[in-house]
Amino acid sequence: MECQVVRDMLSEYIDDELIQEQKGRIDLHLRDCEACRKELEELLIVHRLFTDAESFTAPYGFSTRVMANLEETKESIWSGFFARPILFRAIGTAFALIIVIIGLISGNILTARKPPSLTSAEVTQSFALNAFEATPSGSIGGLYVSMTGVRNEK
Amino acid sequence: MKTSDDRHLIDLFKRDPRSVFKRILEEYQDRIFNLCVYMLGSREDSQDAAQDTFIKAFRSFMSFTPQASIYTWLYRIAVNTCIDHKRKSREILIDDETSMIEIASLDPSPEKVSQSREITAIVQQALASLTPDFRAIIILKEMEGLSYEEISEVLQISIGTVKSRISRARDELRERLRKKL
Repeated sequence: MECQVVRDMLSEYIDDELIQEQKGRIDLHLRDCEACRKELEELLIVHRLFTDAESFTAPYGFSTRVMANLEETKESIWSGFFARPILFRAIGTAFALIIVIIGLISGNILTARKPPSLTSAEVTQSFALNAFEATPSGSIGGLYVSMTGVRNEK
Repeated sequence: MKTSDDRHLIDLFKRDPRSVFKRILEEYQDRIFNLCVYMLGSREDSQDAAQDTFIKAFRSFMSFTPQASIYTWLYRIAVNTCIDHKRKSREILIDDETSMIEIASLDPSPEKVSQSREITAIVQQALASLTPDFRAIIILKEMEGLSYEEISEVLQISIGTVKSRISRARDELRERLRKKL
């Protein structure tokens, strides 16, 4: 096996990710090659440095804080909307604009179909109450008028 | 947790999301926090990133597929969150001496020998010199002890890429650490 081929496989060799046959061939090469052995030693030192480095644990109260924040984010739907990427916000705004435009167009169509406008005289006429008889015959008022002959007309 | 447990958790999550999520949070908070510390090199940023990771996980838990395990899925969110944090705060003092001191004193237990802190600082400094891709893969391999297959799941890359990336990252680390060892 050539040195370069062995060196390319040293990382997998350290991680024990090679099949038995490959591992055996590398072992054989390392027995006779000091340069490759040195390379392996250096890689192992790096590997051990990482395993000897400290492991950090989450600070006290971390999970409580996260759970509290979950509650907050659930409640603030609007802030969620504004935190979304520009594309989503643009789509939302465009949708709102379309709704407004549809409202304006339909409003215009409806006002275009209204009956022709009346003159002021016609409007006054439509509000006049003299179209109604104050004491129609058959009503109590009508009976009273026919009996007394009194008709209170303005 | 095994995949069958994960599947069971998803069913439970539909009924009682908060208590199921609290279980997941308590189970994985230390591993995620540790990953964030080595990815970012700052206590405050690590807490923020770890918290963001879990909030994102809660929001998207229903999209989690049991083909992957929960912890590889969480690692994926954590790695992406850390990369985003780093991108946003361009001035993270990851390769600064003050940052090394901060990291080294993060867990000031009296039993830990000063040598361990020194090693931590060296490791952190070496990691800071790597690209985010190399840093993530080395942390997942060397600190979290994930297999190549698991790393491939976390980073969504092929096993061949995992192998070559780890090998290249180790070569870079070896070069950088040579003068210190």
